[in-house]
Amino acid sequence: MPYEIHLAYRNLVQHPWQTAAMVFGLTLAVIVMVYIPSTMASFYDDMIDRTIEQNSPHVTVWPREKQAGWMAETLRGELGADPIVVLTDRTDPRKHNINGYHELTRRIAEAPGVVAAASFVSGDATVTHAGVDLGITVEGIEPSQYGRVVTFAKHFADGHPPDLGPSDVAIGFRLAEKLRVHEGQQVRLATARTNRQVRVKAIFRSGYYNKDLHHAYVALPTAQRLFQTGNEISGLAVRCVDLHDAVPVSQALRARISQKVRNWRDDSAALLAEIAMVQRVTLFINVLVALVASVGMANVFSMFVLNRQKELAILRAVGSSKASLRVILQLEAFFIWIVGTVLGFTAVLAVMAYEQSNPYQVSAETYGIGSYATKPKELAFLAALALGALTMAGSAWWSGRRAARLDPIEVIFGR
Amino acid sequence: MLLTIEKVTKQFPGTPPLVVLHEIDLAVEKGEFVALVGPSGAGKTTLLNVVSTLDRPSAGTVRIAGTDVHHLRQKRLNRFRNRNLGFIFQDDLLLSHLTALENVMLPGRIARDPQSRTRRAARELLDRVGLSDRLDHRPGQLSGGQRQRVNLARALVNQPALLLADEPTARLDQATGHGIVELLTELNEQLGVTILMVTHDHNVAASARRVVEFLDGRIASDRRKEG
Repeated sequence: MPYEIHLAYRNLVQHPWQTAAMVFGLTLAVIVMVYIPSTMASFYDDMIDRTIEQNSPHVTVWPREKQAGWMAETLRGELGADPIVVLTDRTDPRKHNINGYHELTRRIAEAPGVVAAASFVSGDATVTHAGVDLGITVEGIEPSQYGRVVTFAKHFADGHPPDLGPSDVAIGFRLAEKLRVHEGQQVRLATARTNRQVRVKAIFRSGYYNKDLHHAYVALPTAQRLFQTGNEISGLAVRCVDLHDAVPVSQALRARISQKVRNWRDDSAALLAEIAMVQRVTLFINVLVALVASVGMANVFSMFVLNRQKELAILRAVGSSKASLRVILQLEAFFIWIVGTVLGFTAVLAVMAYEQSNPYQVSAETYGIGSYATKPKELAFLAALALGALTMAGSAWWSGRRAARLDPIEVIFGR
Repeated sequence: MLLTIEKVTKQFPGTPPLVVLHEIDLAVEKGEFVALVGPSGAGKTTLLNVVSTLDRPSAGTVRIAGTDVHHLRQKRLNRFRNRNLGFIFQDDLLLSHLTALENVMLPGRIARDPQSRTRRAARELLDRVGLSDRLDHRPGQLSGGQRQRVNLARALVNQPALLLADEPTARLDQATGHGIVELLTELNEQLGVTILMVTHDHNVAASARRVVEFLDGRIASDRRKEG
């Protein structure tokens, strides 16, 4: 074994408190550097997964609405009277729907980047049971077709979307709790046009607060009858090959069809802006933590080396080269980096494993999701690994440079 | 000649510059035991530092075994110092986290000699200086005299051409210091080790076969013992 390794090892072992302090410092820095961004990224991913992947289509095609038809007319009164401006709403008061949607569905499904498209009818309704009335959104779907667009099958107890008959409804568990209703019981759905008694066929848990409290699925024809849309639909839900391709896919669809096309980014713009802001703040804090940790580590390591000037001078006196001194310090830094990083990773993985079985509870009303657990993010691990390596390599380089410049005469004889 | 010092001058910057050595000429033959004596500030330790290659002369040359040492490149100079020069300082400059045996082995390990050979040589030397039962002791577990003997063993482990000793007994009591001087004499007489020793103690200097006296950066006298 080269004597440099032997000396580096002995130095660290001989100074257990200083070594432990450096390892502990690096371990803490690694934990912070991995945990904070992983938590933020997991929270973001969880929100995207539960609000978009499981509960919303990537792209939605809505009927193209006419321009709002406010018409201004100036009526001149009798001579001497002031003119009167009258604004008339000429917009068609009837809700516009999509007709001939089978052909449209086929055209959309064939578009590049599109996996599947499913028709839906949606509208506002009131659900009533045991004297409790609640306003909800009723969505009429063809479950198996819709399941190819939105991965909502896992929301149901048996892992399959229910086969909804003409008088069936599936409601969220929070809504069921509010209504004090169980599967098999009857509830009344009322829209502005009609109402009907339906049976609760299934109760789902979407993990998304609003959906669990304010959403109900019925069969597509049932919704068409409830909202009296005839053979028309409210829109088409579209799934892209990749969630993040929703923007280019929606742009391509806008060029292909004459309907209004919106993607999940358009619909979640406010939420995404908030998340982006939180991520920027987190990144800033993380950079600060990293800087403080790096400077602290470099300082402690430099002091560690500075206190051993005499030893380094002896080594120079008995023939050690400057390069050997640098190697000794680099090896010490390497040992500290390895041990600190391994301990940090182990600790952070242990915390994440604990969180998987005991997820964080967050305000479902605020964030839409009720709980989440931090998942390991490769990038955060790589960043911590790289930062630790850079810090320790920098510390070793700086200290090695100073050690190489030591004048043995000055150190040994104090000249 | 093993050591040839020609016109060596050493001055330190200042106004006016402080001249510590004035054109020193000195030649030491192989196997000699030379004591450099003189009052503090006479320049003897400075000369030893220049000979040890840890310091550079302002002018003049130092040849050891025919090599003009101050013209060697840094890497070769390190190797030369490691192979050809042994040091004993007045402080026991041992690495506190290594055992006595490991400290003695250090120059051999720096020279990348086979560990087994270095270990054997280190054991023999520690045995010779009377520390065969202290091999695994750390410097903190040894007395001042024992530490200086470990220093001596370390200085000799690579079988250097020249052993440089700077006040080796200065921090020791009289009896322990006497033991170290006896050891140096024995090494010189039995193994033929060439020794250049700085001391201000004339009793210690008396054990050397040649005494060079320094005064104000110049050699005041150079006496050889008869016989």
